[in-house]
Amino acid sequence: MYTLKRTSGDDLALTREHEAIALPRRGAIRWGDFDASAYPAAALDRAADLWRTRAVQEMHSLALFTELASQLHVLGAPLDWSGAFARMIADEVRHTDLCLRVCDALGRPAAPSIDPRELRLLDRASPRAHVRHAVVAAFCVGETISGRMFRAALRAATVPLARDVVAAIVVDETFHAELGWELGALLMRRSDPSFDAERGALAAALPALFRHYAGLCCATGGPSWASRGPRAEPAPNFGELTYAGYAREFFEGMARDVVPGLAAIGFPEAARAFDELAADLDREGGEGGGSSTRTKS
Amino acid sequence: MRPHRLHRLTLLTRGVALLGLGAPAAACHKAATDGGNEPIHINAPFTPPPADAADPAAPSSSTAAAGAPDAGDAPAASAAASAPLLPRPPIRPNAPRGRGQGGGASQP
Repeated sequence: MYTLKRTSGDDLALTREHEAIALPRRGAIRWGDFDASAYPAAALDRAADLWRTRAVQEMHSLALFTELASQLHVLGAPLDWSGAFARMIADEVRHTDLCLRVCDALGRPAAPSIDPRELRLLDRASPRAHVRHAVVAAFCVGETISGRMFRAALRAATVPLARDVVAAIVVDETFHAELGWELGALLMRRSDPSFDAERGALAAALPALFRHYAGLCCATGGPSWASRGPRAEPAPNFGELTYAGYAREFFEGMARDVVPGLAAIGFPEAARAFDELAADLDREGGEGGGSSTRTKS
Repeated sequence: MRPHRLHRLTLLTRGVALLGLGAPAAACHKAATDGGNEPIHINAPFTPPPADAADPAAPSSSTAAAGAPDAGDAPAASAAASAPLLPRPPIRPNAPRGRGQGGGASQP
C-alpha cells in the first residue's frame, strides 16, 4: 500500500508540467471563489468522502489505461491509437488531480491508500484478446456508464466549484466513451482464425462482467429498487447522486447505450445477459431490501 | 445510443482487419537489432553479454566521465528488461472491486 500524494512537494519542472496537464481542456475552475465556511460541516464531510473515493477510482483508470497503452505497440496498432491513449492518460491524471484538489478546497485534504496489487490486469491468452477484453469492460461498459453518471452529477450539482470540476470531467468522459466504442469496433474485426474462439469466450464472460459493474455502480438492488426515491441529494449538492441515482444511471445506460452498442460490434448475447441480470437483481433486491437515498461514497 | 451511431459501429466492425493487429507479440522485438549489431535505439531491448565473455577492461576515468550522463539509465533499463514476469491477479477494470460509486464506472 502507498499513500497517493498529488505533488512531490518541491518546486520542480515535473510538477509545473503536471499542473499544465491538469488544467481543464475547456473552461476554467474557479477555485478561488469557493468559500468552505459557507457550507455545513456535514455537507463538506460527505462531499470530501465522495471526491476522495473518486480520486481512487480515477487513479485505477489511470493505471489501466497506461497499461493498455503499453499493449498497443505489441499489437501493431496504428499510431493514432497511441495518440488517443496519450490523451486518455492525461485525462485520467487530470481527473485524479481534480478530485484531490476538491478535497483540499473543502478543507479536508485527502491521502487515499492505493494497493498496487489491484492495479494489474489479467493477462489473457493473447495480447489482442487481452486488450479487447479490457476495452469492452473499461470503455464500452465502464466509460459509457461513467459518462452518464458524471452528466447526471453535473445536473445535480448546485455548488459552483463542483459544477466547474464535474463539467471539466464530463468533457473528457464524453470523448472516452466515443473512443472506447471505436476501439471496440476495430478490435472486433475478424483478424485471424482464433477470433471466433476469443469472441465466444468474451461473450460468455458478459454476465459476470455486467454483474461486476452492477456492484461497482450501487445497482445490486435491481432496477425496481433503483426506480424509487430521488436521483440526487438536496442542495448544497457537490455533484452527488443517491445510491438509487447511481443505480438508475447504470440500468438506463446499460439498456440505452451499452447493450445496443455491444450488439452492434458483434455481441448479440449482451441483451440476454443484461435482461437476466436485471431480473436476478430484482429478485435478490426484493429479498434483501435497502435504502435508496443514501449517498454512495 | 442513437441509431446512426449504432449503424456506424456496425460498419466499423465489419471493415477489413487492421494490418498488424494480431501480430504475434514475440515478433515485436526481432527487428530491434540489425544483423547482430548493437541496437541503435536507446530504448531497444537489453541483451546481456555471454556468461563466458572476457571481462572488459576497467573503464578509465576519461571513459567513465564520458559515460556519466547515461550512468543512471543503463542499470535501470537492464533490470527492467531482465525482470521476471510476475503473476497477475484477476482482472480489475478500473476501480477496486466492491467499492463502486458514482464517480464512476470509469472506475470499475
